[in-house]
Amino acid sequence: MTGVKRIILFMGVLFIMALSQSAAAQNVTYLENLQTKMQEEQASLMESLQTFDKAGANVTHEQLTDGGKTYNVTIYKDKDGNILRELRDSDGNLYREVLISSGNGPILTVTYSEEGDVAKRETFEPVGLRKYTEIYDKDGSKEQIMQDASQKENNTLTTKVDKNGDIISKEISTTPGLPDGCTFCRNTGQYECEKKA
Amino acid sequence: MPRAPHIQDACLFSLRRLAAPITMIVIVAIMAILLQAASAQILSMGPEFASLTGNYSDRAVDINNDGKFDYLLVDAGVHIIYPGEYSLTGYLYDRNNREIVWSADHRNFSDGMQTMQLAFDGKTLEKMKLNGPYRLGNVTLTWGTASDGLMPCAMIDDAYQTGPYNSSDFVDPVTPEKFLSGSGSGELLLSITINMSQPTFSGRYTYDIVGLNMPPISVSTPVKITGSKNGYNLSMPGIYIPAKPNNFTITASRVRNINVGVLKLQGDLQRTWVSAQFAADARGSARAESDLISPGGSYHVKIFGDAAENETAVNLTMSVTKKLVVDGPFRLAINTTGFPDGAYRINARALNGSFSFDEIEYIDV
Repeated sequence: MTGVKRIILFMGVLFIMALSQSAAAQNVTYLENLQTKMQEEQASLMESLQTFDKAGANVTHEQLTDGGKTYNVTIYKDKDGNILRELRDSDGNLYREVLISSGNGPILTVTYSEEGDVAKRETFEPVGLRKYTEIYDKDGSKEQIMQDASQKENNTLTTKVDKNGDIISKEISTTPGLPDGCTFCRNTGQYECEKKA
Repeated sequence: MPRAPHIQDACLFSLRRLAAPITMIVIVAIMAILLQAASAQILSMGPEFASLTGNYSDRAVDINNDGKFDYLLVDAGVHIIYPGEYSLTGYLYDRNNREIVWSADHRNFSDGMQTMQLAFDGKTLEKMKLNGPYRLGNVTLTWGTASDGLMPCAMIDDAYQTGPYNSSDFVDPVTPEKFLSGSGSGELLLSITINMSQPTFSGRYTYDIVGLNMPPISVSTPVKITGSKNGYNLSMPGIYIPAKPNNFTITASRVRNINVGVLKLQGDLQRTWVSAQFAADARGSARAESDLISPGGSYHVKIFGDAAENETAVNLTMSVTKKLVVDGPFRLAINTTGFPDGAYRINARALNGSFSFDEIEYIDV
């Protein structure tokens, strides 16, 4: 291979790398915009959670095991079909609240620490497979994760924010969100899982 | 209605010319970046939607009272947290772990404890000549619809063992080969419609078309398939079938809804889809349609749903429309495996004003 060919090939590889960087940058902008929308949605869901009409809801109970611990679950269903699931440990401490919107709507999951503080807030949109998560640290900092699993690559934006709200770091990565062998098919418009015949 | 599978883009390039050390260093660097990204991947996302409870039961049903079982039914308990449409798919295996038959269910659930049902096709159980007890495996519970997207909720490979059935207890399928031959010139718009009545059981109906080849032509007839953005064009001696039109419609009457599940064998892979649930109109007629059924594989199509109240049978109508360009003599060996028993109606209309058959013959062997 001549020197000129090597240079052309090297330049080609650099060009491809630049293109992939450009695609990643485009996805950062896309995910930032999506995150803004999901933050607004999360705020709205938090309001719905706080104003949920428990008194007027139909109530049922069940038990659930999560992470090796058994929780008592109280399920409230309001007249519009919205569901609130409250998980409490055997001592009655609130472990998790799950607000399920009716009509294939979003789900808000709030998980509490042993001290009773909010440890994690997660808003999940099943139609489109989008998830926005806020993970809170005891020092006041938090991690914001925006994931869009319908995007094959560069679909997750992780932003670390200090206690003053200033951004510490921002990182884009790929998280499939589906089990091995399952992919999104553009033709069928749905997810398919393959298995060896 | 499930739509056609996609063909994954193959991105191949030659490494032969990349021997220079500087280039290899760049490649290694790129691979390192890719591996780093791969190691950061996680599998799950979102809260728990639903789970399999582990409660299963089975029974075989003789729907038409001919002394042979038409279906082996396996009920599976599911716990629904997020209300909505759910699909359950699974396979039966024999004692030597040989795969026998696939099935699917799709229902719209509120939250709480629910039951789904996998109705395994008796014709396939008989044809495989493998006796039970059968193992229910490769079970997947999925939330969603074909139009909105699907999300796997639970997967289990070794779910349940059925009772000790013999394959000979199930109905024997009849699959004769037929020949269509002749000679002609011109363009035809061909519509094939199949009408059939299917008895209900426990308020539900189900019908399986198993082993249907697309196109349904035996290997003795050479078929050339070429893909395009519009679909797939088929060429056979004397006949050319363009990609469009490709309308495939299933209508069920005297029902509350219709669902369609598809398993496609393509090479050494199996792909499954389950449609959204289509509700019936005020007259009790529900319809599912697609224009993207693709050739090059063997299909298992499962049509199922809830029958209208107190109905002992439902009517199913399947129709497909294709354009045929005939130019000279042709002889097609038609593989009727999986073709439904029922009343067939074929309508052929000449396009562009002229079409002529010098001869045509249809032989049922």
